[in-house]
Amino acid sequence: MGVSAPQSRINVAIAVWEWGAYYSDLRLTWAPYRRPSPETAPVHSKAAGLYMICTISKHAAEAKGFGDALMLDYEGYLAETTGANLFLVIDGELHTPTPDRFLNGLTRRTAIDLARGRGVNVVERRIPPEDLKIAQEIFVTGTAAELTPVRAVDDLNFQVGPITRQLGRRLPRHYPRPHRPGRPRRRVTALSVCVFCGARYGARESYAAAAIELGRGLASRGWRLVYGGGDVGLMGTVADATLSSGGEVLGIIPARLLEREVGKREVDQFEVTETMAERKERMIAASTPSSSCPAASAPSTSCSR
Amino acid sequence: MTLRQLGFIDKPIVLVDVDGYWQPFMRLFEQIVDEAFAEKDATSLVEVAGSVEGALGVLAVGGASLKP
Repeated sequence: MGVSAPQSRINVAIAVWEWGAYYSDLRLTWAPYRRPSPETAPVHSKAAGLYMICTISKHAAEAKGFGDALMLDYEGYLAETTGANLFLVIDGELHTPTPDRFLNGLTRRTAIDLARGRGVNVVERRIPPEDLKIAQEIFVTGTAAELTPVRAVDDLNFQVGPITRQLGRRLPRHYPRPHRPGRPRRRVTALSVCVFCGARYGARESYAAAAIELGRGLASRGWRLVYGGGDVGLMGTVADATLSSGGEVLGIIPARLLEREVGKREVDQFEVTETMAERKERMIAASTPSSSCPAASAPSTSCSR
Repeated sequence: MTLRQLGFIDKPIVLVDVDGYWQPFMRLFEQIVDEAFAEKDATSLVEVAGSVEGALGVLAVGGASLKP
């Protein structure tokens, strides 16, 4: 039956409650249902009746003592679990199913950005279930699941490997911090400040002193440094000063400068671009996106090299 | 600065003027205005801070808006 709904009144209710870990020690088994074709149901939606086959599949998995069910798509390739996107680590690369037949989760996209930022190659493709046998690590991502290692799929066991651990550690930094009840929320806006400065130290010691003061000043205000990603000259100085004072740093560097500017990979976030123009665009975009969004310039600009 | 002048971004730009490093640049900027290659208010595209503290202060208040 198709019910004509456009004239209906829409009521919205939002419920909020404490939620612990969605999964613990996640072991998967195969779902009885497959994900439908995009021609069968609106597969990119969260409210499309897809929850029915997912809930039945999850119940069936739980009844067998597993944490969740792993679902194939309508063509027999790996899709996702009933509520979290799937990742396989194969020989140091991250493989994940192409999200054209299930929801492309926000956490999935964040995990991919993080992995690429750490120099891990990410491959989106149709993945046959046999590839589970050549995977060294498996994990799932979701708003509720965050990043959860998969310990087993039926009798196939997996270790929690280095890529899963590394991404799992970094992911929570990308969530908004919860507001603690009873404590006044700080009204200071956290800014992302883009700093252009020399890849050399310049002729005076006062330049490096200013770079150190700037890095410490950003960290003490809880502001993020966005900079050219190098480890040389004042660029390296301002990044070191921010990091050693507990601040957050995003480095953005073109691939061709990785050697010349000595890409500084121990920063929190590191992006490699193709071109100088792309770096500039990323820097502008990564700085706080509003009129209060600043770009600062320390003693010499990156253009003056 | 060109991006800001043309309205592609509206983010404050601060020069940290350590030991007067940026003064020659600002003189060039004034000459560009004097010789009528830029509007007089073009100097408000960028703020010059004499100290790091001063620069951070400008960033905290969001800098001068181009369109009041």
